[in-house]
Amino acid sequence: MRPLSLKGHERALTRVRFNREGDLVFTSAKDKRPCVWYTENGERIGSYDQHNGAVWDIDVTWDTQKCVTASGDNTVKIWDAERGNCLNTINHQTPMKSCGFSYSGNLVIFTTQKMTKNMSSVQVRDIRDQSQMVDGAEPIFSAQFDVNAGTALFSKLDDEITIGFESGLILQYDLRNSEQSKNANESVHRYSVQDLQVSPSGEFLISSSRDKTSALLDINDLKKLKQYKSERPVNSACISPIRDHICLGGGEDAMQVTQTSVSAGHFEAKIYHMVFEEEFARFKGHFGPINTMAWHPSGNCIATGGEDGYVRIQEFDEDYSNFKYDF
Amino acid sequence: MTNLSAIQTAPEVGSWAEAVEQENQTQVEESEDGTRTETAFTVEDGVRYKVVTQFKVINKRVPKVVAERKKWVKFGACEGEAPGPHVATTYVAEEVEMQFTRNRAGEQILDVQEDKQTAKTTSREHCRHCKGNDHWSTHCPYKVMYQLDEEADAEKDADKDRNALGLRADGRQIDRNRSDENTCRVTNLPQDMDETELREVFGRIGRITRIFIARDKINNLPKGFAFVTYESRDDAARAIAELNDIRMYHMVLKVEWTRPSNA
Repeated sequence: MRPLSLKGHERALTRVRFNREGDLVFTSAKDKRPCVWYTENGERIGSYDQHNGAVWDIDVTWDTQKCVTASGDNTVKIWDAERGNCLNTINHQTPMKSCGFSYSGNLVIFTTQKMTKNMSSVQVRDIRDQSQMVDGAEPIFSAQFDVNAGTALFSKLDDEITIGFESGLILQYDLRNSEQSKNANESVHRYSVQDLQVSPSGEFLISSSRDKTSALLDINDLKKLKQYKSERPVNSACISPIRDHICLGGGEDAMQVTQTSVSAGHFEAKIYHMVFEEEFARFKGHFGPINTMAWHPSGNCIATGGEDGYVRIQEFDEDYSNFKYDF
Repeated sequence: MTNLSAIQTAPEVGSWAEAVEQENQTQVEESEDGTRTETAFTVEDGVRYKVVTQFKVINKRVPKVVAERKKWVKFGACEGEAPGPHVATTYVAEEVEMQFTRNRAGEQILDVQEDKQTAKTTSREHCRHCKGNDHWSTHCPYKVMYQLDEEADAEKDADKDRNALGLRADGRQIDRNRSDENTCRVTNLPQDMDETELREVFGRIGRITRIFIARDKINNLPKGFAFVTYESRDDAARAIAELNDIRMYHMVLKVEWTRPSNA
């Protein structure tokens, strides 16, 4: 297992994402330049330069035509994925923390941070409608919250969204009936929800939290199905597209990294069995906590982004593909 | 170590200069088994090196869209860069072994327990409420519950203290029906101030029913605070008004109401 190590960012990674075919990997970091790379050989194709602050999230449409980035410079930008031109910019009063496209790629969701008198908000806009892409326009969906909405995504087609909060609450809204939240789960996590990802099959959500656990939730009612315990805060978790495995990444706080040795920091990525909630393998790589990870659509490769500024594309060898979990 | 056949098969050249040029050019050979050999020459510190790189050419079938994307032109920070991974941004990292912590039968093979142990000792978080090591007391989910317990405990301890002392110091029976509402708490008490002296100062205000100086259980030294109970609440209020902030030896007394025990 010789991983590719990509050093295109000067600061901690905030998101790695594969496109639908998995031939490209999109990365964003706390520096100002989100990048796109070929997964195969780790060649950097380009960077999307226009942001003036940390980029907290990046997502790409199903057809790899457009990207969306959410940044600490109070903007969300839509990009031409191939050429790196900025197509649209949405300004706000506070930093944007999370963004994502809907299944069709026509709607974009983003969350804004709470700051002084500005509440945290979650908005959905239609990128086809230019009147919605200007500042202060009326979005399709908008909700305000008193706690910071850390992460949000489309969980079902273009209709349902799921939001993870810093308090540990997870909420689900149906955009067709968005007066009230459809489902809520406040018991599963005690601390901040760091990441939410949909399983490749679209049946489950996996949440990662600073309370050192990751949970598998039913995407329809947010019921907790399984919970995976780690010894360190979990920053990201992803589900294998081909096997009943999940992978967890995390580690000690960035603040305390200097006080922990690499071995004590638990910077490894851990692979758990989805059903038995048991860790069976782990692999090392990063010098700091893993902030984000994504499973390649083919199932035999994982991309991880760490606090150390590196992206690692880890292809699995036969050891893993031959591994059978007996039960 | 070098195979000079490639150079010998180079086409005829007219002049010596051209020959050097020819020799320094990169030559590419492709064989039927799919290997591609690139021969290049580099000069470093006046020494000429021949660099032979062998590639295995793999033809892959990919979706059309993926093939299209292989033709993307570099942009942004990579604008104008040559095709192929750039050494500054991409390298192949060291071999990483996947460590299996369980074997096929699900038995623990890697000692993860050990890690947990060290993690425990290095973790600086400790909760004094639930004694857990995974969060601080302020973040304790059971904080409210424990806080009530703690206050009740503290009150009990204080009671016990007083009772024990009351019996030991002067054999006096504990005054079960002492009234908290007529009691003022005196803090910042000088060490060498004893009960008679205290009675003298506070007795000027009104009739005192009880004076209690807190002492250490073991060495019987005053802890620096006392409780003075008056017969009437008005006297206690006056004591607080008049005796608060008066100088006593080298200390400034602080006189206030006792905190209600059920808060």
